[in-house]
Formats: sequence, structure tokens, C-alpha cells
Amino acid sequence: MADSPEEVRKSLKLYLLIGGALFVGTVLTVMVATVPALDFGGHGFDTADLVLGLLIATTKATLVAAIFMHLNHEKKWVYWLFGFGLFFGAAMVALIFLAKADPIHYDDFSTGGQPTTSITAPAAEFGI
Amino acid sequence: MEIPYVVNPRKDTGLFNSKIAIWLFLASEVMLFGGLFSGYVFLRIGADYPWPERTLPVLPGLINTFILIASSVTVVFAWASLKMRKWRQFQVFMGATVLCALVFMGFKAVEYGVKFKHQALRMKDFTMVEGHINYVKEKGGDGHDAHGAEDADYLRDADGDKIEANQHVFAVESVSFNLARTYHEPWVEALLASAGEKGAAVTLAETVDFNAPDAEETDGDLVFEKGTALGTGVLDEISGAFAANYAENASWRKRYLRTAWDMKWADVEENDLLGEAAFAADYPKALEFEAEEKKMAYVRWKAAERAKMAQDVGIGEVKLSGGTEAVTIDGKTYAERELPAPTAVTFTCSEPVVVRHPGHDVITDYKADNKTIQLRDGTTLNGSYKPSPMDFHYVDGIDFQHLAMDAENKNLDPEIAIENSWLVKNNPLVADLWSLHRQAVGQLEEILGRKGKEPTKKDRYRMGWQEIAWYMDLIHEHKEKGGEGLPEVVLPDDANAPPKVSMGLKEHFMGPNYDKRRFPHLTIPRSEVLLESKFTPKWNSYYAIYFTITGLHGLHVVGGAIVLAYYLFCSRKMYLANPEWLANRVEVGGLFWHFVDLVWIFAFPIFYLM
Amino acid sequence: MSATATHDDHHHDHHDPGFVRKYIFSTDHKMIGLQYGITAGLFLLFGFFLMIAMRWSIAYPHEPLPEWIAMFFPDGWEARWLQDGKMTGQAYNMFGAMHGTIMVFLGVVPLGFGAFGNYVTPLQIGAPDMAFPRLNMASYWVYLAGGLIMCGSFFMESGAAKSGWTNYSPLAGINDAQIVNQWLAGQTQWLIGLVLLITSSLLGSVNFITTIINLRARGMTWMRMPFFVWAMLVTGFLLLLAFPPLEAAGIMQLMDRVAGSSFFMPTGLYTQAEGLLELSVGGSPLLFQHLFWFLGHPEVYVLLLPAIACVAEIIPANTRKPLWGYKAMVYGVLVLGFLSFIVWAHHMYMTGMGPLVSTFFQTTTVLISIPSVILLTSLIISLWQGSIRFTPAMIWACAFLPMFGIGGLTGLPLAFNLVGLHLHDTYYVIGHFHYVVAPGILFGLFAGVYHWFPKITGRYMSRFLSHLHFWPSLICMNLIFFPMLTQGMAGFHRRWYNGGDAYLATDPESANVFGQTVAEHIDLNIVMSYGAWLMALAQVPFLINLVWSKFAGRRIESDNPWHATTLEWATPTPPGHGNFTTEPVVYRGPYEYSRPDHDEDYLPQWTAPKKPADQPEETPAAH
Repeated sequence: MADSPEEVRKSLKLYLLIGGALFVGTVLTVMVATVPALDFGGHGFDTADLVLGLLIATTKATLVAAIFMHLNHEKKWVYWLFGFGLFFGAAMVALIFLAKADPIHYDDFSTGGQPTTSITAPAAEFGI
Repeated sequence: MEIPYVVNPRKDTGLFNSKIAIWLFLASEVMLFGGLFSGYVFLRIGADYPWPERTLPVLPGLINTFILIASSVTVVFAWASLKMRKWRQFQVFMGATVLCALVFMGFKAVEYGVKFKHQALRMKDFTMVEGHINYVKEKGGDGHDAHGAEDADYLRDADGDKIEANQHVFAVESVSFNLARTYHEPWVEALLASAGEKGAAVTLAETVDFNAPDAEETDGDLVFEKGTALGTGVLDEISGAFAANYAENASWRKRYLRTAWDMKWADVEENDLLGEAAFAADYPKALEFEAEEKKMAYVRWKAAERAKMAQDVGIGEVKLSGGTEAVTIDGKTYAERELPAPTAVTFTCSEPVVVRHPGHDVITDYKADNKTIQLRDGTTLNGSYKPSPMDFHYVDGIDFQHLAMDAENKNLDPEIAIENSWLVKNNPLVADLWSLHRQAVGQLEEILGRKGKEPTKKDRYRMGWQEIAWYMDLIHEHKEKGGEGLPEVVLPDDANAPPKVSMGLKEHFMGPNYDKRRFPHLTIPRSEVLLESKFTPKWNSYYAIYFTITGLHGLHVVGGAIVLAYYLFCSRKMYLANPEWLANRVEVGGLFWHFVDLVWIFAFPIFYLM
Repeated sequence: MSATATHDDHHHDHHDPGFVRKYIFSTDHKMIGLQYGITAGLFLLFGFFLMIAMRWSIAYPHEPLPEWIAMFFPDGWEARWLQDGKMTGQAYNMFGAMHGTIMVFLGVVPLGFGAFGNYVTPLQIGAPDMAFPRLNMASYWVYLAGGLIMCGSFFMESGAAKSGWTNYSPLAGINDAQIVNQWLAGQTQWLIGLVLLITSSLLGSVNFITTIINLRARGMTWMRMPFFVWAMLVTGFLLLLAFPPLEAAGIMQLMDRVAGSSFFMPTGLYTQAEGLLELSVGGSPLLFQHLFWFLGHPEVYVLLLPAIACVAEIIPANTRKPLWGYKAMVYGVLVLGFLSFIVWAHHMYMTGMGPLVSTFFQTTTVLISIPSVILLTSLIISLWQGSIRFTPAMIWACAFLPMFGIGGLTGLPLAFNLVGLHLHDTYYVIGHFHYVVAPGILFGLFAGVYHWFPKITGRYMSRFLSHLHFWPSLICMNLIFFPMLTQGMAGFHRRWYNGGDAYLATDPESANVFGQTVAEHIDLNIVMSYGAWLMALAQVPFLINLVWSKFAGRRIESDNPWHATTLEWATPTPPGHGNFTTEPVVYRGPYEYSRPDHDEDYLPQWTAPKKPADQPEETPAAH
């Protein structure tokens, strides 16, 4: 069993190390956003900062998930169960954005100057 | 009965129950926060206004991130301690975790509190003004001297809170209550209190009689004489009488309608009014039609006929209101009369009474010459608007980004548009500040230009509190020295942004120190106001999603902390009986805690740094 | 070695828990299942009643409601919301929105998943209870609270929610102009109720999935699980993963209503009551639709799967032959669950999605009909050459097949976006999904009630009353819903509160394009309404049957009255707390009927093989 007391004792150092890495990552994110020398891309916030910021955040998240949440050595069921969430979450976000990115262009079609036909209601015929 | 696999894992899955459950729960949390974060992205890329980027002070967020990371480490240590059967050590680490949660929520509360008190305003020309609003003073005037006034000098509402000078002020001459609606009691009480102060009487404008006018007055007769003083008791009685009469009338009319329809249908059946013969008689042309065509015409004729019938049977056919004569249909006599049920009652004030309402109460669009305004409970106030300006005693942000964007969309020069904005035109101090800011941006453009970069829109068009304080200091020093006109702005060679005062430690958390900093005062007439709000979800979609995600995250923190505190304080017995079970629980609680940390790892950069 | 917890805090199991613990705050999955069932049944009746009143307005738009409908309204309420006893548009919208909400969220899902799932699942996998009994109890009470909050709003100043069960923003998100405290508006209460319901189903689904994964009895391998359990597993996943996005949307809409935010408020909103709204604007109404339908479509399968699961249990037991294509059905239901997450935007063809996205969702939507057809076909083939016993449950199950078939097939045209544009928001859509839900799903669930009633009470339900329930219901259902398909194609809009009358009477110069076809089909309104009212009458025998059979029905002869093979029939009747008297062991698959090598025509899962030679199955997995 991977979670035996001896194993746990051994991994304490690793936990501290990861904690440290998370601190460093956080400081790094803030520096990238605030220190002029580390302002990649154009001046101020732009795509480069976005990508960099999210990369650091994702790395941190991965560390937490893998080490603190023990995803580096879990049972296969956990991967399946949590994987469903990740997969469908990603599918949802991706498809919503696909739908937003692909709207109908209304100027692609027109009535060609023809008036739309109107059908007379029965009410008119019978005098109401 | 015992539930298996509570403590020991099942062989083929290798998991105990609660571990499966927590991972399932986390999967659903991924979907929940996935929905919210996609909301964030959707709102941001779809925003038709300048998204406020990097708008929050970073330090509190950074500290909170550190705290959460630390708590993640301690919670995993707490679990490890249990695994190694070290109770004391578990207590220490778990205690630290819960403490971290408390501190985190403490910082959060401070952050939220500052925003809830901070006023924002979007003007009709899309200039944004940020700052703090005056309170209404007891003895008239919304003076700017916020410091000089004693606490006792301020007007207070029913809860004992100072009333902000950011309300629609209306001098009421008469007030009409919509009886079909439930009036809002606090407003009536406020009106009466205000009248009482002035010694004005608020009385019923006309006698209201809920019985038929010419029936004999009975014991149960409810007459409210002209001149009855307004009070919630009176209003309740009138509403009650209205509701009773209204319900009675409705049920009378319903019975009448039913009978009328019964007769109509009997008539239709007896005389075959919807039959083919009637159709042929009504529409002889149809006889020449082909069978199919005739059938179609018949159907359509029938539909039209039915609509006609509905008009015949309509309630309007019978004289209802006030009539004393009995209505007889089909041998049945409907002796009841329609009872009077006026839908509104009006009370007049002997002299105009001043009431104050926040914007949300008033559903009539603001115009200075409005003679009536409609409140949200259906009450109508008649009288006149008093000047209801928004009176800032500190302006700590002036933002032309939206205005500039609007100008660009109209192919106008943003600089010219700003020159022509109401604020710059009408307020010399703002004009000065803006002129200094333009100087600064000009230099910044040059400095950045050397590196092939250029100032952002935010640099160009927004004066935040640090900039405003810097310019105000500059102007002040210039005047002290007896200088004429405006001072010169000189940016250092390595400038990266418009000039700012540097923040004190406390200012990172609580916003500017108003005792130390200089800020302009500003009065903006209500007619220039498009949207006013505290820095709450109402102000813009950024704050909306910020409060939603961080608020929900905060709830998770609180929930998690409660569970972890329960493990800390209430599980000694379980530890002694079955330490492995407790370790399982702590592991599962810890997994949730790490997930909360994970959410924050993303929330921090996207809200504070991007 | 089966794991035994050395620590036990469930000592109360061993003695009488007392009335409150036994019937009200019970942690026993069977009692909770019954609580769910009864509560959901009451909500179903309430939702049905709303529709009965609405159908009057559709059939006779100018006439006041008759006394037999109006007598259920309190006087003051009637005066406030009905105009001289006639249905107003406001009241109709309120009833319509709440009918949909109640039927879906408070009626069918709790009945299928909450009641049947709770009662049957642990029994069928041989578990003593759900994995988390107290969570199970919490799930029920949160559900009840959510339901009561939603329905309580009928009596508020604002009335109940009026924006349709889909609750689209901005209509649903705008503050009520006449309500001071937006927390006290029906629309807000709807959202609060919804958040509670989602919480409840979250607790429920976590519990179900954990139970199915971890609490299966010895020998109950995955492919020996009855189809019912598979369906519940998939349903659990749908609830688990599809509901949270709606919760996110619900929270955002709640913020729009009470905190004045503009998540779903587009720029430039203007209302008659308030003029230009004082909002920050810039929000996206489409985002709400996406998040809503991300739930909305899987929700359809959450409704469907429990019903199909009941039918899949009833058919083998009453045809005395194994379920045909068990494996295909299992894989089918898994694929169905998977695909149901990525078809949602076919509800949104009218929102201006481009050809790429439309095509994607059109394709997935058509694809999802394949697993549905696998399920239905397998069930139909299961009837082939069976020795069918037409027990009360079986007649309902048999009727389920064609009714659900009609519902499913009428959905196919809606999958195509060009047809979808024409039929969008017409009665065709209403007819389609009601065929799925009402004669389809509800028939399946009725079948379940008749099937498991003997296990729950120890008595059979009356055969005579069940026929008296079945035949009128079958006829009325079709009387109500078949004309809807015709009307829909003729252009009847689903939200007409006067059945098309006002549409016919509109200005002839307006674009009244469906005038003729509407006139031709408007008489159907009356036929359908009578169908609905008679349908109500047809439920009376059922209610009588439930009560009468509970106390005076014919007693069952054994614990396994249908001679079925799945584990729930191995328990005492009714099953006690903890379910099984001895730890159940499973030796074979779930549908071993009419085996040539066995004397009886059924071989239960729990019957130990007589001697090794009789034991073609593998031995139960060692623990």
C-alpha cells in the first residue's frame, strides 16, 4: 500500500518542496505582471502575459493535483471519475466557444429586393 | 447493519467509499467552476466596454494565495501525522490549517468591505468617476466638510445608519397608493417621519366608501372620511376592504360570465349557429366553391364566428359599476352589484414633505422636471424633484477609457471627446488634472517609444487614485511656492507608467488614506448620471464575476474549514477507536481543501493580475 | 475477506428506531425512496392540475374556468390572478413555467431516480443500504425544501416564476418592476429552489455512483449487474456532471436579480415599466442558454433512463426469457450518456449559430438516436417468442415501447436545423417531448410501481383497477399529444395562452402567415383538452388502487411473486433495515430465464449451484 506510514514519512520532504515551489510560482506570476523588466509582449497586459500567467497557474495546479492530491499514484477509478469531469468540462467550454466563434453572417443572404408575401387572415374576409 | 468499505478499501476498486464520493464531488465542482470561468471568459471577450484589467490591489490577493498554499501544506501534513499516528502533531497542523482559513476569510472581508463602501458612477458621456459620497446633514446642506462635522450632525435612517447623499430627493405634495399592490411599509414610515418633523399633515384626499354609494350605510360599512390621517393601520384597512370588494366583484362577474356562456352555447346548439347552414347563410359565395375549398372556408368562418361570440358575451355588455338594479339572465337574478373598489387612494400633504429614495426604489427615469415619480411598490409620488446631485467628497478615480472607446467607435478623436466631456468642461480642477495627465502620458509615450512600446489605454485614459494624489500634491506644492498656472510634470527616464504616489502598507488593503492624501471634491448633477453603484456586482461584469467566483470560493473555504475544524475538535474519540477511519476522513477533507486551493490558483491571476 | 468496520455508530439499527426516525428522518434507502415517490407523486399531480387549468384557457379562451377547476384556487388568489374567472396571460405563463419545472425537476426526476433508484438499486446489487445513508436523507430533505420554496412562490406578491421552465435571460433576469425586495419575487424563489434541487441531486448522484461502484455484493461483477443498475449509474453521472453548469448559470442569474449584475443582460435593455434599465449591461443572454441546455439535454436522459430501466426489468420477468442484447444495451446506455453531453445546442438552432456548429450538433444529435434505437429494439426483440404474462406491470411496459418510439422518432426531424427552424417553439416540439415524457417515461414508471409494489407492501395491486387505469390513460395520452404534432406543423406556437384565438384575430395586414392552417386545426384544441381532463379522471383508479391494495390487496405467496431473477426478490417482504438476512452472493447474470438445463423457468442470481457440474458460470470473484 502506497499510503503506509513509512511511505508517508518519506513523502513529507516532497510536500514541503512542493509547497516551496508553489510559493515561488506565485511570486513569479506576480513579478511577471508587475515588474517592468519581466513585461513580455507589448507594454501592459496582453496575450503574452495571459499565456505566461496561465502557464504558471496550470503548472502550480498540476503540482497540487499530482502531489498533494496524490494523483501521481492513484487507483484507476479515481482517474476515470475525475477524468469525466475534466473531459466534459473541457468539452463544454470548447463547444460554447466554438458556437460563439461561428455565428451566422446575416449579410450573406438577402431577399433580393422582393417584398415578403403576406397571407390574408380569415378575419379580414369575414369582416372582423 | 453495517455499510462496508467505510474504513478499508474494497479490493477490486482499491478505494474506500468516501474517497470515491469526494472525487465524484470534485468532478462536479470542476463542472461548476468550469461554467463560472467560462462565464468569465465569455463576458470578457464579449465586453462592449473597456474591461477593467489589473484593477485590484495585488498585495491582499498575494498574501491570501500564500495563506492558501500554506494551508494546503499543513493539511497534507495533518493527514500524514494521522497516518503516523501522531495525534498531537495532527492537532497542530490541522489547527494551522483552520487558522489559515480564518485569516484568508479575514482578508477577504476587508477586501469586500472596502469595495462595498466605494462609490462608482458612470456618466451619460461614459466618463467614470470613483470616490466616496457625502452623508446628509441634519441641518440642511450636503457640505463638503466631511472632517469638520460631528457624528451627531448627520441624518440617520430607521436603522441608525447615516444617510448617504446619493438619493433621489423628492418634495411630495400628494401620494397615491396602488391598492392592488402591497405597499412597502418602511417607505410609508419614512414619509410619515419626514412629515412629522415638518409638522405637515398627510391626509386622505377624498372620502373612500367601499359600499355602494346609495345603499344604506350599515354597521360593516367601511368609510374612510376625507382628512383621515395616513398611517399603516389605515392603509391596511383600506387595502383589506379593497381586496374583499375586488374578490367579491371578481366572483360575481365570473358567475355572470359562466351563465352567459352557458346560454350562448345553448343558443349555438339549438339554432346550429356554427353549423354549415348558418355558414351558407352568412357566406353564400361559399356554395360556388369546390368541396375542399368550401371546407376550408367553413373552418375559417367558424373560427371568426367564435371570436365574434366572445365579444357578444363580454362582461362589458352589462352595466356593472354602481348599478343597483339586479341583472337577470336565464331566469337567474344577479342581485349583487359591483362593489366600488377604487384601485388607488390618494393622500395629500399639507405642505411638501421631503423623501429620499435610492435609485433602485424609483422606477421612473430621472428628469429634473418630473412631477410624478413611480416607486417600485406601485406608489405614485406627486410633487417635484429637488436637486439630487451625487456629491463626492473624495474623488479617487477618473476614468475616460469608456468615453474614449465610445469616441473611437464613432471615429472621433478621443482626446477631443475628453476635452468636451461634461466633467472636463464644467470642473476646472478636473481639467487641470487631465492636462497634467496628458503631459505625463506624452512623456510616457516618448519614453516607451524608445523601447518600441506604447502606453496602454489604461495609462492614457485613466487617472487612478495614485495618479490623482500625485497630481494633487504637485499642484499643491506649486501653489505653496506661489507658482502661477499649472506645474510641469517631469517623468523619470525609466518611467513605465504615469506618475503615482507610492502606497503605504495600509493603503494596499484599505484603499487611499484620506487623511493624508489630497483628493478633489466633485458634485455631479443627477441628470448626468447614467449608472451609479458601489463597487459591487452591479458596477460591471468584471466585479460581477469577481464577486461571484471569489464569493463562491469563499463559501467553499468556510465549508471546508468547518469540516476540518470538526475533525480537529470532535474526533478524539474516533482517533482512539479507529485512527485509520479518521485518517480517511482527513484525507477526503484534505482533497476538498486542495481543490479549493486549486480554484484560487486560477482565480488569483485572472482577477488580480490580468 | 470482506472488510468490516470495527467501529460502528449505527447501533440504532438493532432496535426499533421510533416513528420519527423510521418514517420521517429515516436513513433507510427504502423509506427515503418511498418518501421521494410519494412527494414526487404529489408534485406530479400538482403539475398536472396546472395543465388542466391551462388546457381550459386553450380550448375556451373567452370563458371563465368552470367550478371544478376554479374550486381549487383560494378566493383572493383567484381575484388577483384570474380576470373575472378567466385565465390571464400572466397566470397562464406562471402555470406554464411551473408546470414544466414541477414535472421535470420535482416530479419525474425524483420519481425515477430518487424513488425507484433509491429503492431498487441497493437491493439489486446486494448492498445493505446506500453508501452514505445520512447523505441520502439530506438529499431528500433538500429536494423537498427546494420544491416547497418554488411552489410557495405562487402565493407571493409577484406570483410564481413566469419565464418558462427554461428561464431564459434577460426575461427571467430583469427585476420585477413592482417588487421592492427582489428576494421575494417568484422568479428569484425559482432560482433558489433550483439551486437546492441541484444540490439535492448532486448529493444523490454521488451516493448512487459510490454505492454502485463499491457496494456490489460478492460475485456481482459489472456484467452481472441488472440493466436497471447500469441505467442508474449512467443517470448518476449525467446528474453529477450536467447539473453544475446550470447551478453556475442559476447563481449568475440570481446575482442578476438580487445584486443588480448584468451577466446575462445585453446592452440597451429597455422595459415598458422602467424605461432604460439601470444596469451595467454588456452581458450575454446566449451564455445562459448554453449553460442551461448543457444541463437541459442530459436532463432528458435523466428522465428517460430510469423508465427504460424499469421496463428492462419487467420485460424479461414477464416474457420468461433473458433480456435480448443485454451487452449491447449496456454499451448503448454508456454511449447514450456520453453523447448526451454534446448535443445540447440543437435546442438553440434559432440563436444564429453558424453552419459549422450547427452541423456538429446536428451530427451528434442524429448519432445519439443510434444508442436509443439499440435500447428500444433490444426491448422489442426481447418480446419475441416469449411466453408473455400480461401482468399489470407488463401492459404498461408494452405500451411504453410504441409510445416512446413515437416520441423518439418525432424527435428526428427536430435534429435537423432547417426543420428545427420551422418547428421551433411550436406544438410539434411539445408533442414530441411529451410523447417521450408522458406516455413514454410515465408509463415506464407506472409499470415500475405495479412491478415492485408487491415487494414494498407484500400485496399485489388490483388487476381490475390497473386495467381501468391503463386503457383510458393510453387512449387519453394519444388524444392529447398526437394532435399536437399536427398542430405544430400547422404553425401553432407553444406559448399561445388562448390556443391561437388571438393570433387569428390579429390585424390581417400583419404577417399572419399561418392564419389558414391555424384556423383549420384550432378545433383540435377542444379534443385535446377533453383528453387531458379525462386523463385526470383515469388516474383515480390508480390512486384508489394504491391505497386499497396496500391494505386489502391479495397477499403475495412468496418473497419472489413474479419469479424474477434479480437480487431484490431475495429479500424478505418488505425488506427490513439492512435488506438481506444473509449476505447475498451472486452466481450468475441477471436474466437467467427458461434455461434448458434448469427445472424451473428461472434461475435467480443468488441460487447457489447445486453441484460443480451444474455450474457453467465462473465462480464469484474472490474477495
